[in-house]
This record gives sequence, C-alpha cells and structure tokens, in this order.
Amino acid sequence: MFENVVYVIIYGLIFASLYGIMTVGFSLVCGLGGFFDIALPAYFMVGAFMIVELSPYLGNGTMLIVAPGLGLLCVAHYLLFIRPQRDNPYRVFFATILLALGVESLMAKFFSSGYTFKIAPLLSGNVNIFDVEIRQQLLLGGAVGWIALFGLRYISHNTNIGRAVIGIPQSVRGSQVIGLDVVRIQAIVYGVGGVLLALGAYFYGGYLGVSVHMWAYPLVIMFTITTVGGLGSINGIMIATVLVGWLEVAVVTFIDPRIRAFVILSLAIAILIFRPRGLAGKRIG
Amino acid sequence: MRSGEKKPDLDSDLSKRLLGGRPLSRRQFLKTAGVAGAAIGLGTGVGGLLAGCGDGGSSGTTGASGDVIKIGIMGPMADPTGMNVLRPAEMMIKKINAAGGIIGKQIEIVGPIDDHWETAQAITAYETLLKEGVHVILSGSDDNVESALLSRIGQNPDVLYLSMFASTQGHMVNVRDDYEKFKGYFMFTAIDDGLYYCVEEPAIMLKEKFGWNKAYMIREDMVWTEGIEQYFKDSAPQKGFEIVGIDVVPLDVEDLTPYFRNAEKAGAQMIWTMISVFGEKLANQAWDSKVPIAMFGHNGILNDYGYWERSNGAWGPMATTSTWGSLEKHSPEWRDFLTEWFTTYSDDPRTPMWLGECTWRGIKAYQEAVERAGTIETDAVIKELEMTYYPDAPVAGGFYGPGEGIWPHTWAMPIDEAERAKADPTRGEGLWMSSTLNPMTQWQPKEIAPADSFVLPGTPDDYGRLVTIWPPALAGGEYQLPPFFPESPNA
Repeated sequence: MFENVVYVIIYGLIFASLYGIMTVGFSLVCGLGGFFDIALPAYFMVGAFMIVELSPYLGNGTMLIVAPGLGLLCVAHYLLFIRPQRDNPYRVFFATILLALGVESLMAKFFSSGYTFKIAPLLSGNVNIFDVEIRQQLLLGGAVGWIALFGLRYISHNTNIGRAVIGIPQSVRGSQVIGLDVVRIQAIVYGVGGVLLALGAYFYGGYLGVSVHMWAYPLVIMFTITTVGGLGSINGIMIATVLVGWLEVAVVTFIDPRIRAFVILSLAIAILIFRPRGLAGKRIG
Repeated sequence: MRSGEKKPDLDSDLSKRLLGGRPLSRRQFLKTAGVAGAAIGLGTGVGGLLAGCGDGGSSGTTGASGDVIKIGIMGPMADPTGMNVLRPAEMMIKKINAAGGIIGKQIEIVGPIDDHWETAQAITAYETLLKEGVHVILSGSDDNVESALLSRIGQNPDVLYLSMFASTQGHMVNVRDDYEKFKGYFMFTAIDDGLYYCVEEPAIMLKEKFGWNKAYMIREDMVWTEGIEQYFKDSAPQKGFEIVGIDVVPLDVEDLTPYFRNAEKAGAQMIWTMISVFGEKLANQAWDSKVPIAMFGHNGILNDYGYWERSNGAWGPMATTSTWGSLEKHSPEWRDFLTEWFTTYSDDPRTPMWLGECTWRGIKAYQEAVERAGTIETDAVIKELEMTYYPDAPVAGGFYGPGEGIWPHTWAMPIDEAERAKADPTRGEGLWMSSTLNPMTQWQPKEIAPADSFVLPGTPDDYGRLVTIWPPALAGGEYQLPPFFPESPNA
C-alpha cells in the first residue's frame, strides 16, 4: 500500500508537470482570446515527430532546433490562421478542429497511423525511490516541467508582459484602453506555448511513444486543466495539473486504468457545475 | 500610445470576442466544451470521412466482364494492416496478369476501400465492392468490424470473402452451422485456439529452459482475446503454469507501465500478450521500463521490418505471427517473395505482418482453386478452396470442407505431424486442428543474433535481425535474455 501511495505521489507530480507545460499555451490563449485553439495539441504531435525525425542527425541538440521551431510554427499559426478570424470564437473553434484533423491525416500519410516511434532518451537508467522504479528520463521531464511552470509563474507576476497576460482576460477593453498590444501579447503566448509544447512532446512522447493519434488524450487533459484551473491562470494551471496528475495515477493504480478519462472528465464537469470560473480563475469581464 | 501605433478598434476588440463583452458564462463554456467533446469523439470518424473521399471504386477498368476477375480490397488502409493486404495483392496480381491471368482472365483490383477500423465504413466498403461486381473480397477488417459484416456476408454467399485479420471462433460458427449461407467465407488467420497454442507452445519451451512457470496475460479489449483468455484459464494450469494475473487493456491505451507493474507485483515470470493493435507501443515501453519479465505473444506490427529503426532497437519482447524471421529456414518461394516486397517498396511496411502472409496464401489459394476448377463459378471454386493445403507456407495448413471437421473454412492443419508433411493429408472429424505454427520471433542485435541469419538486401549492417525461436522447424536461433534481466548474459 505504502509503495502504491509513493507511486501515485511521484508519478502524479511528474505527469502533472508534463500536462502543465502542455496546457500553458492552450489555457492562456483561451483566456486572452476567448476561443479554444484545438490545433495546439496537433502541433504537439507535430513537435514529437520533428524530434523523431531530427534526432538521428542532431542528437542531443535536437531540442535546440525543435523547441524554437515549434514556437515559431505556433506564432505563424496564430498570425496567419487565427488572427484573421479571431473575432468569431466559434469559427476559430471549428476551423482549428478541422485543421487538427487535417494535420493528423497529413501526418498519417507520411508516418502511417499504425506505427509507434520512439524518442531516444537523454538518460536511460531507472531510479528507485521507496521501492518505486522510475525512469531517469521521466524524472528529468518532471523536473524540467516544474522549473518551467514556476519560471512562468515568476514571469507572470514580476514582468510587465506577464502581468498583461494575466490581466487582459479580466478586462480586455480596459487593457486596450491603456495601450496594451493584445495581438503582440497573444503572439508571444503562442510562441512560449509552442516551446513548452515541444518540451512536453519530448518527455511525454519519449515516455509513451510517438504516433499520429498521440494528440487526442492530451486535448482532453488540456480541456480539463483549463476548466479546473480557470481560464488564463498560471496558478490555476499549476493547481489543476497536480489534481489531474494525482487523480489519474490514483485511478490507474487503485481502481481501473480504463476509467481514468471518465474520472478526469467528471472532475471537469463537476467544476463547471459548481465553480464555473475554475479553482483559481478570476471573473472575466 | 506611441505615435503611429494603430488605435485599438473597440468594436472588434477582445471583449467583443469574449462573447459580446460578457463574461464567458458556464452555459457558453459548457456548450462549447460539449461540442468540443463531441467533435473529439467523432474526430476519427470525421477524419475518416474526409480521408475516405476519393478512395474506393475500381482502380482499373470498370464494369463486369466475363474476361475479368474482380478482386475487391478493403480494410484500414491508412494503417500497416490494410497495406498488408494491398501490397501483396498488387505484387502478385501484377505478375499473374503478366503471365496471362487466371484461366485466361485478367485480374482487376477494385479499391482499396478504407474502413478506418469502423463498422459503418466497413459496411459501406463492403456494399460498394458488391456494387462494383467483385468476385472475391480480400479483407483486412478486424474482428470487431467484421462481426458487423457477417449478416451481409451471409446474404451474399456467391461472393467469396477471404478474411485476413479475424480469428474469432464465433465467426466460424456461422460457417459450421449455416454452411449454405456462409460458404463463401474463409478465415486465413488461425482461429482462436490456434492463436492461443502458438503462444503456449513457446511458453512451454521457455519454462523447460528457464524454469519459469508464473504466467500473466495482458490482452487487448477485443472480441478475439476473450476466447483466448478462456483457453489460458483452462489449458495453462494443465501444462504446469500458475496463472498469476490477467489484465484487459483498452485499445486506445497510452501508458502500459501500470500493467507491467501489476505483473511484476504478481510475481510473473512471463507475460503472454494478446495484442493486435498496440504491440509496438508495448514493446517500446517494456524496453524503456526495463521490465525483467519475458514478454511474448501476438504483438501485431512489432513484426514489421521498420520496427528496429522506429524503436531505436528496443528488442525485449517477442512476437508471434511473424512470418519473415529467420528467412533462411523458409521456402525459397516465400523468401523470394519477401525479398521482392522489400525491394519494391521503400516505405513501411517493407515486410509483412501476419496479414501479409495470409493475403499471399489467399491469392495463391484462389488462383489454384480456379485453375483446378477451370471456372470462376463460385461453388466450384469453393469446393477447390476446401482442398487447399500448403505444408511449405510460413504458417503451414489449409482448409477443409463441411462434414470434415469442427471448423470448416478456417486455416487448420493435421494433428498428426506425419500427416502434415503430405501434400494432401487425410481430412476428417477429429484429425485437424487450428494451425498452431505461427512462428515466434525476437528482434536481436546483430552481435548476438546467429551469424547465418538471412539479411534482406540493402539492410544496414548494424540493423537488428528478426530471429525465429519457435517452432523448431523454422527456428533460426534461441531466445535471448534482454540486457536488463538480472541473469542476462547480454547485459
């Protein structure tokens, strides 16, 4: 029992960090723009394949290319695809769903929908913590994820742009009146979100394997964390991702792995009913 | 505001985008999230519909003709599964046509039509092929999908349905109990019990060699593995195995580590895997997690040539139904066919998984049956197909007809080993069983694989070797303990 509890705590925190960095862009964009960009998880999958394809040539330096590359791709996606239609959240929503499915189809053409690709880990050993075996690479991913999340939290509270990202959803009109360039800020959020998606793709894809379907479950996770944490809140993301991480691993360990998505979505639904602005979200208006 | 900077357009600012400047209400959020959920759930279907546009129909000339044999192809075509039906068909039919066809008739491929692993699209694919007037259907549809086709197959007994994927015993109950309606259905994969015993047999070999007797089963949540679980419960204890656990895994599983952990905690020494879909994922994760338990079974596409590259050489688990391991032990005909496949296509799958070999047998069986019958008239061809027997096929076996055994039209072989070697073994009640001869193979690094392993031309020198370890007649080497096993000499 003790071993299982340790397992839930450690793996929950590791997954929480990975889910957190994968969700940052999605959640902040949702808060800033008032729309859901379903294409972001698909770019997460694209990032994972970029790592698979480039790592034979670039080795350990792959992420130095892929992370900024995916960041730029997300910025380009925002400027060319989202910006022209950002006035209509429903249009963005459906357009990005179609784009995501199109990206999946395109990737399936090149990589096939049935194969799983492996990302070579930086660290290949295991660590034993209280009789729980943990892959060193996964532990590294967890650490990197939490450093990134706390770094973002620091930036959001101590820099002008960070304060703008947090503040804009509370009063978009007011933000524009005082001269905030919302488009530029959104582009920056897309860029940072893309870099974090690449990090998530490296560690998450490295743990579970890379396939063209790998974006579907993270999309569920992104929706849940965004809902539970509250739109556009770094603190909310951090609280929600820990809840989701622990809940998921606990369900898998103590109940049945087959119902993990059901339980996680139930949490999101409960939050929507009883606290629709999320655990740490502020009222938008 | 700096000079020259554009004044914000308050009419189209973000507050308006935020649903008219109002807070994002719970109902609006729910509505949007609900649509999102539905869209995600339907994603594959929509994607499938989009991808399905434009496929289907005849790839050659259209219209029924007495001089043409139309062979329809269906299955999940964006997947190696479907490609394992299409590629051998393309290669073989091209050759058959170049040699003058079958009894003077050219073969025309109709399709391929993608079923996207979905029942509704499989029904559409099947009916489209019927409308195209096909004589034969080569199907790579999985067991669950094919279950939904059975009633239609029963309504069209004059169209041969050659099933390459399915193994579910329940499908063959139809042929056994209602032969006239289902006489056109032939199952080229071994039926459930054959698939079970071709895992149990190598398990017995490992038990005798290493003393392992604690067995754990991980099976995917599919209809074909339900029957196999029952065989496991009934048969394994009789063979000296202690069953220490069984896990049923959903098809869309991401993380298999909890299942490995369950097996470790249960004290398992072997994990028998009954998987057709996520075998590659399982192998990769088992390697990364350094699971010190022998793992083997029906791991589907783990068998494919490209696996070594895709997985960066993760060679722990073994897979059965791999028909291209240790090719030096196979017949020249099969080896040449494999070499041709490998050199013809530059992208995966460059070698077959089990369906590829089934399709090879299927087309050969049909060609020979028509040539023996001298006609493409269905009843005559069926009678000849029921006489099919290939002792030299990678999965040796053949068919028998009604009244000759329990499961007519399933790929089976004589129980008596002496009979198996005959070109035309005796058929009869109690004499045949589902073929258990699916080879069990293991990827091994070049350094520890047998030096005389056959290497396909153009294979990189340091590429892994797929070595067959069972059955003895096809074995090119022995099971190698992965390096993270405590007692492994390969550490």
